[in-house]
Order: sequence, then structure tokens, then C-alpha cells
Amino acid sequence: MKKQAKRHGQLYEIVKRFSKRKIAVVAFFVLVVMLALCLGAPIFAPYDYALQDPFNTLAMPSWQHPFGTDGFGRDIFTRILYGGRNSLLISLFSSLISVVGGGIIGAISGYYGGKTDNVIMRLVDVFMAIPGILLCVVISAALGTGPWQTCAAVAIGGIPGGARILRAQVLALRKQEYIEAAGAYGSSDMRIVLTHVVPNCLAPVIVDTTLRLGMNIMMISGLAFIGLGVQAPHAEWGAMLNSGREYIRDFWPLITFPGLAIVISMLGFNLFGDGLRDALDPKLKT
Amino acid sequence: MTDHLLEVNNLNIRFNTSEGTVCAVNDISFAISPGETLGLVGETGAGKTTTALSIMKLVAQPPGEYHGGSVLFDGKDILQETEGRLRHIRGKDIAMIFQDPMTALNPVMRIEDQIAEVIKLHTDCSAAEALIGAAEMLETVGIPADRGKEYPHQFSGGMKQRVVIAMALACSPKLLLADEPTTALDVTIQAQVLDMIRDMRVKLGTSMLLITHDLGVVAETCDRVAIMYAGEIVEQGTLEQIFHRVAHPYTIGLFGSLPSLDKKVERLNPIVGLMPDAANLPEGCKFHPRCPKARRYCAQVHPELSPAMSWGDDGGHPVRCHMFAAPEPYEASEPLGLVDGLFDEDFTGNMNMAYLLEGKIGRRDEDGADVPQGADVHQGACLPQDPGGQRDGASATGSGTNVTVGASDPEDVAGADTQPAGAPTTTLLEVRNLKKYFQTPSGMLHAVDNVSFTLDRGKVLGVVGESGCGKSTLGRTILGILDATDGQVLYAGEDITHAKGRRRKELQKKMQIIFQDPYSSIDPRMPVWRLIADPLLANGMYRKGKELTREVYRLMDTVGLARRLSGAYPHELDGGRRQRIGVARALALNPDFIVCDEPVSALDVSIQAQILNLLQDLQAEKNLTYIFVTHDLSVVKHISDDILVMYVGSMVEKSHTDALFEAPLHPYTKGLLSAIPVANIDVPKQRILLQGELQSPIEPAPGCRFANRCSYATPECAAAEPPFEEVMPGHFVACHKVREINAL
Repeated sequence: MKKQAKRHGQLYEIVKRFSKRKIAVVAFFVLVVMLALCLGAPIFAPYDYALQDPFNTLAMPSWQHPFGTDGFGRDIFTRILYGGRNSLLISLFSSLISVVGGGIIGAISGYYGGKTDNVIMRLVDVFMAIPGILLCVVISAALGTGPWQTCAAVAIGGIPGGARILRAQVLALRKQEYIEAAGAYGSSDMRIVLTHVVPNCLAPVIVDTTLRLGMNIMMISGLAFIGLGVQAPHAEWGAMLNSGREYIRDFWPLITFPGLAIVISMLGFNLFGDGLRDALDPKLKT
Repeated sequence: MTDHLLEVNNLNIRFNTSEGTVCAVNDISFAISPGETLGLVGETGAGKTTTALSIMKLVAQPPGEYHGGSVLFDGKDILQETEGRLRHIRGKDIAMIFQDPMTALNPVMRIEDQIAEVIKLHTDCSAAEALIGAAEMLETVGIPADRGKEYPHQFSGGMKQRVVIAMALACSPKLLLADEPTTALDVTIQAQVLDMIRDMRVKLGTSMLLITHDLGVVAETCDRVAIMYAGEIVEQGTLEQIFHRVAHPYTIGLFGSLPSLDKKVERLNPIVGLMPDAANLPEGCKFHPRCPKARRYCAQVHPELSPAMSWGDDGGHPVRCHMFAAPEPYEASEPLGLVDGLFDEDFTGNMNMAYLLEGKIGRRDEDGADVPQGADVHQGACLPQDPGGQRDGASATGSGTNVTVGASDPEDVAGADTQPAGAPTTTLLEVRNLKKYFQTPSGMLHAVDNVSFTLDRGKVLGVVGESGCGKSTLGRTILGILDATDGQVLYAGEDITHAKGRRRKELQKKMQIIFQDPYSSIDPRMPVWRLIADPLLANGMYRKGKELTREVYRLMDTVGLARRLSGAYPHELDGGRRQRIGVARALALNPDFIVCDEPVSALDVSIQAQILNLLQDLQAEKNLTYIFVTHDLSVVKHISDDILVMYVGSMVEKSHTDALFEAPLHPYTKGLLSAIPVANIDVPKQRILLQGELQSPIEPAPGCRFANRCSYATPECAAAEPPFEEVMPGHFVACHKVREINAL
């Protein structure tokens, strides 16, 4: 009864604080529209993504083809929606894997400290020493091409960062007296981590996830651009950019629209993430 | 123009926040003459610091806004000065000392450079001259000039505060604003710093505005006192007037909340409730919801400052209370007082606890919301933003029996709580040669060294010492939170020093801890009911459901938390209520033994008194055994049976409380006792000022650890560790010279 009302109250507060940040709200709605369009691509797309029209290649935007057609006469708008579906889903899965996987590693490292921490963190350091995109390239070269392989590559590349973030949080929390208190009244380590540590780390992790979503879209597109990600005939923003490279001087729509899609989604996730960080920051609570 | 150095006239400061306008300072007027010290006293949120900042026009605008009034310094209005002019005044004519010396110094600058910078800014002198000036200032505040080459991290807290004071006094300001200058320091260091401030004032003739919450500090330092409450001055007068002819009910309450060193008080007499939120001040007198003398008139009309004429032959001093300002309408209106239920339910809970535990008063049905009288009453007192409703609710339901019993006569309640008869006085806890060392990069830190004592069931042992003496570590080692390096802890005869696993879990139900900081000791993401239920859930004693809810409500009643707060989150609560959660959580497993680790040191005086009373009641009621760890001797005095004084990890004195306060035998205890500022201006205090600083607990030298500060020390003391021996029956002291010093 009352309890629920209060809990609702806290969420309400966060929403209220978030809604004060206008740019973040705009970003949020842009993202919602994009997500809806991309995830509902089979419904919204006017054509099939692989449908070729040899008599209408490289068509300029028109009512039939709002973004024009590519070198095989495929509708660019359709391919952007399907490509977005691939990019967004892969980005979502890989982000979740890095955040959860990295989070577990980081939490163990931070909570137990000492030798455990040292071993885990030195391994993380080794991974961090390799530039992110290079790591992804190496992993996807080893795993082969395809959506799942890309997902795995990006996810593994993101785990060290996720581990770092949660470890820092847990280290700060571990010194709090309520963790000590929970131990003093007989909570097990598992229980302390699950009921006291994790909920208190959630805010930065959620923010990290949103920022990571944008970053991963970039990464996936980058891999596809150099031919390591999603393969034709499946659509992918980076792959579309790559195919548009040949026509960069003669036919602008093929490179402009996928580029814009990447820019807008990345900007959207970043601005939304920033707004969320401010909204979730307990220091701004009044 | 006038002979006052500083004249603050009708100063108003508001803050425009998203929640609305907050009136932080309302119509404040006071004056300081050259060479005089005015003490500004009040609890957290009373507007003391804002007042001080406004004297230098340092209140940030926005969100702050000066709303009329003037601050005349040397006849000129500070509030009308330009920023350029102000920069000349700040630091040169008016200087400020901030509360926390740890953050007031720049960590990457040498000490002497920081002082020299102030001198260079305000005088036309060369860098070399400024450095010479800095060295002189250091010597004046009692720091060898060659230490000026060092950096802040090489200084202890007390020395940093001396440096801060040296910086403030570097340009011989006419007025010094000291904002809680000694609150962050240990008692013996506080005594040194206060002594130094007094010296400086005499030497340099500086006037001072001393902001503090500690009436003891005021009694020892100030000439005049102004008491602030909710942004207003409620009483102002000379030290003598305030301490002897105190008039305002709030000031009386402040004095009542203080645990006294020289009198044995059975129960403290705290002010009920909380200071109202500055954004939602009550109508009429701001203090009336907490005032035992409040009448209907007080809730309607805001009182003016007027002299309490009847209180002395010196012309009286200004008091903001209708009892003196408008006696006729005040007398004519009906009394509201606390009998009418105008108090926080937290407090009733406290008072009625004995009854509640025995089920004599059914206060609330299980729902916790539907019983009209209780609900209305406490809503009124907890939510000062609705004073009208609160008043109506209160008077309409004033007949609530539970309410009347608790508040009208606390003595009765206290008397009624019956001591469990024939409680066996068996030894509950025995500690033998307990040691806890920590490995640090610079050597072994002896946090607890060779501590032994026994504690009988139902008794309270106060463990007293300054920061770093190992008292908190001792408590945690006994509980097994920290693993003992050596020695034994026996609980009811059983060696539990290294108990693990299931046995440790069993013990944890019997041995609990209440933490110092109510802000970091409870999980901010859990609502109150969940926080209290957590120990029960963690031990699998309850599952979520009706049973658990009932148990949580019972615990909330026990510690005097309103049931309506069960869904609130910690950040919505004040320190006192949070600490009650901590107490409820410790009680949840029904322990026999509780370590109270400075449970009141983070709280305001009036709240501190409420929590102390609660702990004392619970102890008597449930025959609990406490180890009460604290740095404040006056706090333990009325709750402890025995007191153990610790110094740098080792025991220096242990005795029955009364014996220790009457005749301390160890020179350290003597110094500690005399260092406590006493809120009493009649008894001239003979001060035994402890010089120097605490010895480092890292690889301590053999011999008496107090030797470097002890005025009686001889080479023998530094050579051998003194034995902890029974000098008088039940009175143990670790001192080679104890018999010579005390002529035993």
C-alpha cells in the first residue's frame, strides 16, 4: 500500500528530474521513434530488403523510394530500417553482455579485493592495452563473419570497461558502514552483494549501458565497413556506407542516409545517457 | 558613528530554490564592539553559517538574495560595497576560519607559502618579507617556523587548524569570523586551539564572531551570546544573562539537552521534535511546535525581540517570546503545550516505550494508518508546513490518552518502567589481552594493544578516548567483524575469538552494533521497513508477509519511529530518525549485547539527548549489555556503569563511573576531563592543558605511550610500559607515577 506509493515516488522523482533536461527528452523521443521504426522494419518498410530492381538502380529520392535506390536497385529506406534492426539488436545484446559479464567480474574483483582483485585487474589491463576497434577486428577475424560473431566480438571488447566501472563502484561502496552492518547481522557475502551492493551500483551501470549502446553501433558499423560484420544481402549501416564509397562523387544518397542514421542514433544515445546520468545522480536530489 | 565595530541590522537572506523560497536568515540584528567575542549558537540549519558568510558578502547570488537590512562594518555597509572593495576587506579587515581544517588548506602548496600569499595580497611587501611574516605567524600560533617548509599532509588536524588560524590572523584583521573552529578536533586538541584563540584575541585585540553548537565552548570563550533558531535570533545577552537568567524556552531546552559533567542526571531533558524545514516555517512563533510553554497566541502571532525585563536588574536582555513580549494576550489564550500532542511521535515512542513493550498501550492498529488521534497528532508535529491543520488536528484529538500520559509526566513513565527483578549479574563478556594490529606501509599499527576487561550482564561499559585510540577497533574486534591478532574474547564463558561459520552466525544474533554515522550506515536504496527487516530476512527468521510486517512495526514502535515512515527512504529522514533505524536494526535479532559505536556524535544536541534517552531506556528495559564507545566523556557519564579510558591502543584507566569523574588518577584522564568545555560559568575551571599531540600508533615506542605529553614523565616512563594495576578497589590505572601524583 504505502510502500508501493513511495517506491513509485522515487521513480517519479527520477522522471521529473529527467524531464527537466530538454535535449535529453528530445533525444529520448528521437530514439523511441528510431527504435520503433527499425525493430518494426518488416511492418514499416515499403519493400523487401533484398528485392533488386535492375531497371531502377541509383535512383534519386522520390515518392516511390524516399531515400533512393542503391547500385542493385534496392530501396535505401528499407535497407536502413533493416540495417538499423541489425545494428540496434547487435548493439543491445553486446552491450548487455559486456555490462553483465564485466559487471560480475568487476563486482567480484572489487568486493573481495586483495589478490583476486590484482589478478583480475591485471588481465583487464592487458585487454585495455589493446585499442577497442583493433580487439574487435582480431576477435571477429578469428570468429568469422555474421551477426552473432559481430555481437560476440563487440561484447568481449566491452567487458574490460564494464568490469572497471563496477569495480570502482563496489570499491567505494565496500567502505560504507551499511555493508559492514549487513555483515554484522549475519548476511552472507552473496546476499550482501545482491541486496546492498548491486542496487547501489545500478545508476552508473544504467548510464554506462546507454552510452555503450551508441558506441557499439559505431563499432558494429565500423566492422561492417571493413567487411567483417554483417554480410550481404543483409543490410547494415556500415556495410551500406562501404558500398556507397564507390559512388561517393556521383550519387550522394547512398552514403548520406546511412551516415545520418549512425550520427543520429549515436548522438541520441549519448544525449539520453547524459540526461539519465544527471537524473539518477543522488547528489542532485533535494 | 557608533562605537560598534560591526553592526548587523535587520538582515534577511533568502534562497530561491526549485522548492520555493527558503528564508535562511530572518531579520537578524546584532553588534560586536572592538575586542569583543560574540557567540552565535544554534543547531544545524539555524542559519549560523549563512549569517557569517553574509558579513563578508560571500553568500552566493543566486540562489541567495539579500532581502533588506545592512551589515555595517566600521560604519560602512558591506552589502553596498563593490566586489573590488570587498576583496580588500576580506582577509584583511575581516577574516574567516572554517570548520574543517582538512579541506581549508591547499594540499600542493607549502604551509609558509599559503600564509605568505595572504600577506602579499593585502600589503605592499616583497615575497621575502611575506615569508618572514609567515614564519612569525607560525611561531605565534605555536608551530616551529621551520615546519613552514612542509606540506599540509604532514600536519595533524590540530596543527592544520592552527595554520588556518595563522592565515586568518596574518593581516591582523579587526574582525574574525570563526565557523565551528574546533568541532572537527579532538577534545584535548580543541582545548589547545581554544586557548590559543583566546590568547590571540588578547594579544591582537581582534573582535570575534564565534559560531558553535557547543554551549561549553561559548562559556569558555565568549563575552556575549546570541541564540539562533530557524533563521532568527531568539535570545541575546551577555554570558552571564544567558547562563544565569536564561529566558527563552528553546535556550532552556538546549541547556536541558546537555549531558552534564558535574551533575549526575538520570535522564536528559531534550527538546521534542525537530527544527522546522527552512522552506516551510510554521506560522507565529517558529519554535511553538516544540515549545512546552506554547499557547494558542504563539501559533498565531510572530513574537518580536523584546527585553525580558523581569529577569534581572541589569535592564534585561532581548528575548523573542510572547511570555515576555506580550504577556497579556499570551496569558489569556489557552495553553497548547505538549500535552495537546504537539510533538513528534518519535518522541512519544521514546517516552512511552516502557508501556508499549508491555502492551499497556495499543497505539495503532496493524495498518498503522487508521487510528485518528495518533496519526493526526504526529502528522502535525512532523510536518511543520501545515501549522494550521496541525493545531486543529491536535486540539481536536487532544484527549488521546496515550499522548497525554507520555508527555505530561515523563518522570512517571521513567519511574514506571520496572527493572527486571533479580537479573543475574553474571559475567557476559570477558576480554583477555586482546590485540589487533594492522599492517601498514610504514609498519605495524597497534590499534588495540593488550586490552583486558570483564563485563557483567546488564551493565554498560563506556570506552572513551580520542580519535585513533583504538576504541572503535576494539568494539569491532570483540564482535568478530575484525579478526583479533592475539588474545581472547569470551562470551558467556565461551571462547569466541575466532568463531566461524554457523557459530559466528549464532553469535551475531546475540551481539550487535550501532554505528556512528547514520548517513553511511544505512542502505540509501531501501525503504525504512526493508532496512529494519533486513537482519530478519538475512537470518531466515521471517519471510516477507504479515508476520514480518508485524515484527517491523513492533520494532519501529520500540525505537519510536512513526509507522507512517515505514515506506520512506533514508534521504527523506533526518539524522535522529536514521539513527533510530540503526537502533531498530540492531535490536531486530533480539541481542543481549550491543556495541554502540559513537551512536550520537553525528547528531545535534537536542536529537543526541533523545537518542541517548532511548538507548538508556532500552538498556534498562531489556537488560541489555552495552559497550558504549565515544570520544565525549559527558555523554557516557550518565549511561555507563564503568568507564575504560584508552590512549593510543592501550588502556590507561578503568573504574566505576562516579569514581572516575570524582577522582581521575591517570594524568591523561585528568587532562581529558579538564579539556571538556563545560557549559557553566560559575565554576572557575582549573585547566590541565595537555601539550603536544598523540603519539603515532604505528610501531609505538616501548614505555608509557602518554609519556611525551605527560608533565610528570621521567625517563623511567619512556623505558618501561606501565602495568595496568588496581590502585584502589575497582580502580585500575596504567601509570608508573600514579601513587606519587595522587599521594596514595
